[in-house]
Amino acid sequence: MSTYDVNILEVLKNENDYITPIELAMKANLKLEQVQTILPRLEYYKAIEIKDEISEYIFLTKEGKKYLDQGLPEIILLKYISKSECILTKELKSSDLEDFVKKIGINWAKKKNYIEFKKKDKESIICLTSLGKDVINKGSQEEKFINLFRSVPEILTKNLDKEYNKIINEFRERGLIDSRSEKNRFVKIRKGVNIEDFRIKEITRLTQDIIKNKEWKKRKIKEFDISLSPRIVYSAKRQPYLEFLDEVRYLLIGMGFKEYKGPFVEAEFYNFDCLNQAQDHPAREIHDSYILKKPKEAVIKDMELVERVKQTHENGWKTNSSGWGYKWSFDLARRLILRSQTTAVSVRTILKEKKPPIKMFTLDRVFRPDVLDAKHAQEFDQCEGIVLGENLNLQNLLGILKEFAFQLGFKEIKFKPGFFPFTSPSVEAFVKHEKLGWMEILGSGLFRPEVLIPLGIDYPKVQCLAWGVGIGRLAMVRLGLNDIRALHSQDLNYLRNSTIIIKK
Amino acid sequence: MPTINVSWEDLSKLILKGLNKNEISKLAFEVDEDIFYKDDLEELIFLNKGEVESWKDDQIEIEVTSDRIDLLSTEGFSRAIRGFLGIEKGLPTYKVENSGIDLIVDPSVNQVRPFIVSGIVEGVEFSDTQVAQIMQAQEKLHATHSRNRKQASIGLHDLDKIVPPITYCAKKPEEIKFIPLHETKEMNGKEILEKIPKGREYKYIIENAPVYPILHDSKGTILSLPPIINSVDTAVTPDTRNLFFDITCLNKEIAKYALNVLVCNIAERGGQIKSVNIKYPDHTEVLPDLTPNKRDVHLGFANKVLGLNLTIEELKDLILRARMGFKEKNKNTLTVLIPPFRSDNHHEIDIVESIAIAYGYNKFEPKIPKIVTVGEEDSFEKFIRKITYFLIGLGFQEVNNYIMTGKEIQFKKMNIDESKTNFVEISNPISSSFAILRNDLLPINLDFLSKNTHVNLPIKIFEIGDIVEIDESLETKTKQTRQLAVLYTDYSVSFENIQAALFALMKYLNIDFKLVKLKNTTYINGRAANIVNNGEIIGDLGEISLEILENFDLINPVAAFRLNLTTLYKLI
Repeated sequence: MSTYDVNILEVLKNENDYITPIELAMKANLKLEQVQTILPRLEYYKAIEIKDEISEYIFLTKEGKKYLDQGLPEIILLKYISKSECILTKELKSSDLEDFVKKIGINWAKKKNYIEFKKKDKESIICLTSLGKDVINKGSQEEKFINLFRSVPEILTKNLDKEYNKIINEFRERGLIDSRSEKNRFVKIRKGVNIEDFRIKEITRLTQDIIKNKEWKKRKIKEFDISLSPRIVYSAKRQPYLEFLDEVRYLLIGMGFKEYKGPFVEAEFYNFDCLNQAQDHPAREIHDSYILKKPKEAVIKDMELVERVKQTHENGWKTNSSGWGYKWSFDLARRLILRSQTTAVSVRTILKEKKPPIKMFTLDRVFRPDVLDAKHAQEFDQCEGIVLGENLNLQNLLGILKEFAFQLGFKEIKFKPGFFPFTSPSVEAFVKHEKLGWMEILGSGLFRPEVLIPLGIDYPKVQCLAWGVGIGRLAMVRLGLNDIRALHSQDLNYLRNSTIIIKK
Repeated sequence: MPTINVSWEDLSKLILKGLNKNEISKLAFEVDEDIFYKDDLEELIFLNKGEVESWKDDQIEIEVTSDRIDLLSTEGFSRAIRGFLGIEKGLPTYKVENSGIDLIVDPSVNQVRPFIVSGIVEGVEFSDTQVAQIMQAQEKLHATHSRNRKQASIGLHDLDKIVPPITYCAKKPEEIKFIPLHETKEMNGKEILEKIPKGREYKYIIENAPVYPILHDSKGTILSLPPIINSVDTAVTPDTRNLFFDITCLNKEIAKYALNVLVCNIAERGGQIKSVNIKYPDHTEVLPDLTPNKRDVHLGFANKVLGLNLTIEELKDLILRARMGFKEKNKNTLTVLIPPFRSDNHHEIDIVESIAIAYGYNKFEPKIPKIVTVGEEDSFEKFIRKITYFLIGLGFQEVNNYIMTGKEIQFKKMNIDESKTNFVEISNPISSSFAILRNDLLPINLDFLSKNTHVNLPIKIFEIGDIVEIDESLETKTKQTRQLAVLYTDYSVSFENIQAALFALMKYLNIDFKLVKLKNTTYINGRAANIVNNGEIIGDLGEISLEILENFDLINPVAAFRLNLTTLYKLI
């Protein structure tokens, strides 16, 4: 036992009653962490008692506060009816009572048996029950309860009278109150503990002094109870999703690909027009792309490229395509959006590198309007790759996809004809997961002549194999997650408790 | 992408129509009592561009790619699969006779919806399944192909309730009066747009025009107010045998394809297609026009793209299986005849894709291309990764927040005046929490701490991520840089804690710097500094101001540093 243990016991002896670890640390002149490390040991040696108390505090919600100010709807209703004991239902409906009183008030008054509906002269009427009259005359439990909050913002539940239990449950159910809990630890010395027993006799913790002064030759070294669990130590780690993305990165680098990046804020020109997506394509509408409020318009300087793309859209230009047959707008092409597909990066890479062979990949964020929930997010990552070169064909594309899937741990793959505006032939690939069965993981194809020729590529001599994966979904499978939000988790305990995952 | 519902039994029977038991037993796919085995039918659909989304009893839900409007029905899939299996090959031909019926287009429609196409199918014995398939195809053609009825809208009528000739004209809304389908009272044009559900849904297409389009017959009976709703007077019922189609449109090409798909689908089960004479003031169009489109395909091109060694004879067979026809142009070139319901052929490559589908995507052999390249990680990314692992070594946990954020966290809680700040803003956000791009990592990480007030202390976190600011001088008017934010919070924490981490990192990076006193609203006065290299500010550090801690509901002190890693990279 260390001298700290004795310090702590001496403080506790003087206290005699339960105190908190913070008070204890201050009085013993120790750090809180030191006290927290020592307490379990003292408990083990039956020197102290530790008591953990969870205290629940309840407080009014926004709606609860409204009722505190204006009155509970069922009580307002009762008071209104009590003027004449019974009232025509339609009269109540046309009264100037507020809507919440009419709707919520009637429901609760009925549920609590304060009122009853009757018929009189073929008209529906509402009357007070005897219970309802009691409430008017003697006041109600729920009013008494809500009024407690006039003087304090929150109330410790264990201090409340048991008679309120029913009301508390009702108010919780109605969303009028909410609660928070605090965990408090208290410690106290056990009766009959002799502090002298804890003064150094056996050596507990080895120190430099004990070794240097050869004290260990004179004293016995205490045996430890090795079955005790230590204090939990959290190591800093990589964020699990980002670590998975790096694994994918290395895998592609291993397959001979080079990583490229492009901007989040992108001109529609690179995101859509260069990819043969007509200007009235549904993906370009406001519910499928984030359009910027500021800045609004890109400065595209390569007017020759612009002209080639324009002609290709309008009449096919020199691509032998029939084109889309509409009037192309440069204004729309200049509009700035948040990149909705990483294919924009492939376009920029081809423009930059120009000469085959190119094997590039990009692994980065794209944005699409969606409400954040377990399955959707306003932004997610795509992993996109292209192989640009001579003598490439559909079977080569399937070869790359099969290898990529294999590297990701999927041994079976099958291919379905697909459709993307910028590829033909297009392929969707499905892989077999041990537990989840077949799942679609990627879209791919050979870039169309309408895409490649305006970018300056010698099609069909040079072909471009392209594929894109929604990598977040694969990460969820690998990390065993059901909620897409966990990829960007703000829960530190989740990050601290994440475990090793290795693909064998 | 659109999804359609088909019946397992109906689809199986339509595919196998006309085959005897012996022929059925020779198919490569298993059939029992005229019904395909489930897995086999699923694979046939899969190989023909459809994906089974769900399968419940007899009902199959299939996702169809948006380019193939001809596949939006049982008839369409059956036609394609019959070709794939070799049961029925080549260009499907449908006989068209002229009905002698005129449809007169009045110039008044130029102000609102200038074009119309039309066609007739006679002598059809409709089953409930078939009626459901026609309705479904109509609905799906409206949604995607016709851009939600804007480009084209389809109307179906009982021909026997119409007295030709038919007139397509436009009138003032108040002058249009009829009982809309599913309604009981007569309404005028304005009322239809306001009062009935379809009116409210599609009024945006015509409400700004001075006149609305209508179709009426020679007796003055109104057929419809396109693109909104038909009249009850010409409604299709279970007894209807002769169908009249009208498709009003802004884009004639889209409308013609929709018409061709619909009439050909119906004719797949029987019935006679008849054409209508559409009379514009200056010319007449006879529709539907089921003449095939033509496009040349070269054997060499097909083999090059697919990586196959097909002979011209094999190529011909695949074209026929793709339900296309051909004429020989020369030894290695065929002029392919494309059926009139296929709108997806813009280039020779599209024909090649159809050939690939007929060949079978399951028969291609995946081959790794023989292109030699060296895989390479960007050196900046390498630099980032080294910093990441160094910070983990110092005990900081890596976190990953979203790039989109809201003004509340980014500015209000940080006590920053947004009008003096340079940031990218979205015009169509779905939520105010994701309405801008972050231009600094510190706020979202303080938000992170505020979500973790109950976890064990100390908390040491960092994030490396992109931030975006407006820069008018660049092509996309924005500058995207990589930033590092490191945060340290504990029951008690001070400037020195974060300073020690910064000094350790800078020593590792071997970059000279000095700290220069900083006064701003982010940090506590007297406990903040800029990190300066050669006169350039590369970051800052300090204890977070107490007002900001209060805004984020943080009860423990926080110290933090930020570094611009894009700038830092240039210094090493």
